[in-house]
Amino acid sequence: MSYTQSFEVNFLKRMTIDSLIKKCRKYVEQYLSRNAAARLDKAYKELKFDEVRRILEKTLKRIKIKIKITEYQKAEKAVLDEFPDAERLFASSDNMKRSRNENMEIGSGVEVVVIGVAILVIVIAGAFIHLKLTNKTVGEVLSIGKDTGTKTFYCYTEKDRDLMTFIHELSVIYDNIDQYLNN
Amino acid sequence: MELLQPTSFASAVASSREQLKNISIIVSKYCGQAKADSFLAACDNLDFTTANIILDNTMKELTGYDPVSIALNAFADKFPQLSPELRNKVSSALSEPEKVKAIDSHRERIINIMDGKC
Repeated sequence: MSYTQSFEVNFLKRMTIDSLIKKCRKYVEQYLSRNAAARLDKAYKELKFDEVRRILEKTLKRIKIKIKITEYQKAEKAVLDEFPDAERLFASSDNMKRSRNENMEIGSGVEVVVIGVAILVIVIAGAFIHLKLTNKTVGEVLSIGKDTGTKTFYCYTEKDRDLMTFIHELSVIYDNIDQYLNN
Repeated sequence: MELLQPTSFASAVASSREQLKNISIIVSKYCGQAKADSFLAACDNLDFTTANIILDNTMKELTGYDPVSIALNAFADKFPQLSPELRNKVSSALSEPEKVKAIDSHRERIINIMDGKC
């Protein structure tokens, strides 16, 4: 099985923010520098999330120019399918075109995982991390209702599910009424 | 606000026993067993006013909004992945039953979103 096939967003969603940050630290070290990884540690420890975001975004840019465009697009699609609001993180079409020309022969499926994690962390760093929910899982954080200034994310609770059931039963009643009255 | 209309309440009771029972389970969960019992009793007695008050109260407990119409619009707004289609359908619906039907038409996708599948 290739790494591409094993890319599994649900697995990432079960990770805590803490563990996801730790996992991505090694990509910061690999694609930027040890110093950058140390700065990430320090910024995260001191809750300086703007700095965390800057370092992760820089890492993402570095990853983009090092991997094959088809692999990048797969990762982009996987992340966008799961998190439509991550769209702002991706390059413009011009940048994509340039990357395609420059990097067609570079990279492997491994980077799909790398970039998927990196993008997820950036989503979290940019939008959620300031909520100080570092011990929550990624899935929990992504479902928490919070206006981040540019995007609104929502919490889907047991009440929402019960409300949906409530609405569904009412809807069936309305259909039954129509049938009953028409017969 | 009327989730169940006076003109069709009797037919709702006659044709939707199972659904009314399922609703009473949710009423019981959020408003207590006594209210659930009152709801079923109101249905049996064709007491449209009491039944609707209990439905409104349950909706309020589920959403935090008092008017049913606002609660349904707020619920539709909660799924931006489905916008603008769902939001437009709900906001343009003329009655609560129409809003309910509009939301229910997206039931499968809404459940998937809640389950984190999309």
